[in-house]
Amino acid sequence: MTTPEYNHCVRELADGLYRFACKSIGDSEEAKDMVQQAFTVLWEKREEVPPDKGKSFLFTIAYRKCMDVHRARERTTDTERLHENFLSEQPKTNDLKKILQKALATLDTQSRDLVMLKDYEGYSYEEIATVTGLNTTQVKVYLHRARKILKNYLVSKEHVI
Amino acid sequence: MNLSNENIEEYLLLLADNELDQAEENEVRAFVAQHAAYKPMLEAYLATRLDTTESFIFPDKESLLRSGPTVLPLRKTNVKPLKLAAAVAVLLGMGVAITLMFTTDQPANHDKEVVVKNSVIKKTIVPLTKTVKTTAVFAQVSKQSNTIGINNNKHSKAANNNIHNIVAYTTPLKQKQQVPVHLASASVNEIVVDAAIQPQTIAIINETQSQEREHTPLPEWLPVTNENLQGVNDLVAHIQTLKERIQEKTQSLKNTTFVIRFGDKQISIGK
Repeated sequence: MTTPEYNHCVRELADGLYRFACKSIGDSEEAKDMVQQAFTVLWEKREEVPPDKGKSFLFTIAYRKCMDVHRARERTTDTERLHENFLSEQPKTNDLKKILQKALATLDTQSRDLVMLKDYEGYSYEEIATVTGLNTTQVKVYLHRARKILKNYLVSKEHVI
Repeated sequence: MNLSNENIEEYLLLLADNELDQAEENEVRAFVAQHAAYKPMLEAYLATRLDTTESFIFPDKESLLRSGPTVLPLRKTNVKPLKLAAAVAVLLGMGVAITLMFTTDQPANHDKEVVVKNSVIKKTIVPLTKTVKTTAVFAQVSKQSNTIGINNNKHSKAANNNIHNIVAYTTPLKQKQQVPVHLASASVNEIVVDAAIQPQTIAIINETQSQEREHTPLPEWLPVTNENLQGVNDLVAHIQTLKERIQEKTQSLKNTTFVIRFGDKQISIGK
């Protein structure tokens, strides 16, 4: 990967990586540091990374760092509060999106990351498996399970659907 | 796909995950349209998709950019590669030709061996190492030795002492091999004798006086020109033959009595 190719990755992927980190750990400042760390590692290993593998390389680093953050916290209750606070700070577009964000916050870290990788970045099951280190079947099962949880949260009688 | 009530939810999840192609999605939607009970399930799963229109901008993105060495691209030329290769090949050929023209390759002619073939024997005429002037010489046969002296002086008797006795290497007629024949001219002070030669007759080569000799044109009857010394050995052999015949004739004449008759009278001359 040349310097221009690296800079192209910065311009194209920095926002999406930041969104993923923010949504995963619920802290924008920590998410910003995580993005900077991910791009630093990419720059240091740019000669080993092909240009078409830049996105998966960055999200793999971000995913592992998010998992490290979550393991360091190890308190689900605190994580949920962080997500609730984070979601309350987001601009309120409509109720459905807000409820969905709350539903997302109820998922475990891994499932939430899988849903975000699927919906925000458009990764396939195989690409998510590469980023997360899971196999394709596991990705499919975890995602379907997460979707059911989200659906049940949305259709429960307390919520919109 | 074989959609049924048992597997429809799995296909709805695949649809929500965007893992179906357009044809498969159309088939699932068609099934749901035919089975209205599954419509709320489809809408609920589609609602679980996260909103991608939400804007997230990484602050200070410029701080992530890196600068590398400036790469200057090669300017494109209109010269086709084939023409360029042809031009390079022509230049290389010209360089090789010029190099060959200015390299020294052959030694001086007088250091060469000239092979002269004749009908009788094969001899090699080796020119002298020093500069040889025109062979304007007068060939003289010596009675005492089978040598041929080349006298450059018109007055042969007076120039006897100044005669170059050439070394005539003769070989038998049967022996056909190349032997060098050394020729002398008036301007030569030294005559090189090839030690590898096995001559039949060898004459002593006398060095000439320091005085220069005049070059006398060869007689016309000599089968050799000033420019071409080929056939000199043939001349030597021919002269030898003539000498022998003259001797025989002379001897026969000495032994011959001539009788002249005038009518009844006769006169005898001879022995």
